[in-house]
Amino acid sequence: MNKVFAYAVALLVIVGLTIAALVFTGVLSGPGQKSRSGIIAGAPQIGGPFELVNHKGETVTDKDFQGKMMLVFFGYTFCPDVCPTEMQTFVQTLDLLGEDADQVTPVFITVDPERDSVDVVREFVAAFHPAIVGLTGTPEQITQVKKQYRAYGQKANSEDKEYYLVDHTSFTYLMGRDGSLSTVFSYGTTAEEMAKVIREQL
Amino acid sequence: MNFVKMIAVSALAGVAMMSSLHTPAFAAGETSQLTAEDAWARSRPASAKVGGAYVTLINNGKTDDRLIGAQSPVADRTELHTVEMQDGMMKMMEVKDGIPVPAGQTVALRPGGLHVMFMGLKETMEEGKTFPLTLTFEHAGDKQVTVQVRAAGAMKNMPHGSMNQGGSMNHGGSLNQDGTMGGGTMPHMGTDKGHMGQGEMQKQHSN
Ligand SMILES: [Cu+2]
Repeated sequence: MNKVFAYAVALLVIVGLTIAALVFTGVLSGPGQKSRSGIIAGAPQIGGPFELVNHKGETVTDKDFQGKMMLVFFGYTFCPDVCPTEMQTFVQTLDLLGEDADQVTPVFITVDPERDSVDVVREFVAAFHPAIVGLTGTPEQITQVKKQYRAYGQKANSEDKEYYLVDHTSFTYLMGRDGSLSTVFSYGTTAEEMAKVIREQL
Repeated sequence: MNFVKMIAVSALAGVAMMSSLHTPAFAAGETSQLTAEDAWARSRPASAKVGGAYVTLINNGKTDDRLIGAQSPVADRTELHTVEMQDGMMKMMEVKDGIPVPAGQTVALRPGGLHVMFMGLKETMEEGKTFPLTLTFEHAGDKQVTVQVRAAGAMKNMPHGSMNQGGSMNHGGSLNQDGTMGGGTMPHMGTDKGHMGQGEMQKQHSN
């Protein structure tokens, strides 16, 4: 009898999970979804003016980055898995570019300004490559830059004040020398691919 | 969201009931058939309050097992986490029902997916250091491993390539030779890479 009951529960569970999955995908289809289909070449709606604070504590704007290409990734330093992986891809891309690496500024923008202070961001980027610029700011400044890049960053469990996790956009944006969008790379794009696309625009 | 939570909780309860019914009588000699190898972590800055570790779990036994918890003196809290990608968004989350290690299979925790997550680091995870980690399995019980701290951007589970991988690196296509994640710019992405953790489970050569 117990067994029958358990199977009944299991059946309900499966139904429940399916509904949950549907609700989940429905609720969470964030702004990133639109850009799934491919490289959005020169789409005017991504990028634009921002004012942030770099890992040296200096206030910087989008204008300070113009003249060079910019490789932009949104993440947070409390992320020990995906974000270091993407930073490592940046390092490998720079290595592959060799002398041309100075034509592109790799940029890490935090989506977690509350915990990612200038000092924390500095230590984080320094562990990877001296060329990587880490950017943080006030929550308002970060909200603004996320909007400009149509990037997403949302606390997943904000009730955990100290160790909350943050869901965030996984794309890497390549911006042209004029600050307009050139290419969107999906997470998992190899350094070889990034270097190739950057080289085409040297 | 509360609705989702409720379903998730009841789902877990249901799954727990199911598995308790199906737990086979456990042969005493089999506990040693499960091994945890090559535990490593990425170094973290001194200010870092969290860190992650990776390990390869090999189940040579005939009983399915499950990693249900982890503990380490380096952190206040140790959890089992995974990373999932949904519509271009990266979500790191706790795997509350543990990580299955089916009989005869190898499960590799590695960057971009399953990991042991340390919250509230009490020591700096500095490159070259080692620290102990206790893994708790449903059947095999506790296994202690020594975690090697490697470079901040280290990618590979096995840096020397000396262990018999049996070509497993090709499964799921998530790791290239240089250790970077596979994939391409979006137009080339024909396959749905929704689950970053895919390809983590590999069939082992039967022995
Ligand atoms: Cu984690």
